[in-house]
Amino acid sequence: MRLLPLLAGLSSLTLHALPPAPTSSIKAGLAERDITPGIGMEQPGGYGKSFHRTFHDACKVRVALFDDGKKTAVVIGLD
Amino acid sequence: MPRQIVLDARAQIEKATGITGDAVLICASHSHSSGPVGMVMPGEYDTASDLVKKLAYEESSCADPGYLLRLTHEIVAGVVAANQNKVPVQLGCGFGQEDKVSFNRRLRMKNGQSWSHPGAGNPDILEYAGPIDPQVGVIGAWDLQGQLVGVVVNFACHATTNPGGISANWIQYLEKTIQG
Repeated sequence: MRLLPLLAGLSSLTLHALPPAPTSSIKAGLAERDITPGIGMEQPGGYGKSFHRTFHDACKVRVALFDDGKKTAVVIGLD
Repeated sequence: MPRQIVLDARAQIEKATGITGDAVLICASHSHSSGPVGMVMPGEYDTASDLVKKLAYEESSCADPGYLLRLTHEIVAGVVAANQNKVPVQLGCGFGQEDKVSFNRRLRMKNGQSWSHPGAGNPDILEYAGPIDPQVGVIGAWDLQGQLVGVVVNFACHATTNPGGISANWIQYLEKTIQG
């Protein structure tokens, strides 16, 4: 504690005052969930039937949630 | 996305978190290498003729009712998790430009028609029949220690670049590139 006045005095002479710790009234939450289909399930989007035979990479639900304290909005992307 | 999945997910999200359905945007990447959410819906042609039923259920791409339920469940679980782990953030928004990745698949032909995918180098091609949207919209969120929490990227490009096998399609490569 005894050091504090000295440090305070130094900072006014030679150091820049530390910026105040940032604050924000906005919160964000991000999350993912796995929605990888199983081998043998249908592969959508073609003109006939097609079935998944192999796995390459995971499919996900991707969630971005924003809350300003009054209202929460959610943006969801699906693979 | 089937309309009913969006309505079900919104109702369940509202029940679980209090977040109202009108504040929940659900969008699909239209991946051609992902799960069976379309195109013929379960029961959609049950009252049609036998021929139409056969064409729809046996010869067309069909949604899987079990997968649709799982999808709805995971959408809701994802929102509940995001709502629980939310932290104070600083947000940044911006736009980039990317005009080399996508192209307009409709091309105006010498015969006066516009064709989809007439074939690269087709001598009857006159010009693209329309523009692309090269704008890349980005929202970044950083926590108050300066750590990047996440990024929302908005870019219009049909996800038909199937790498072979189950895949999130080109979105997976975008994710890999951003996450490093």
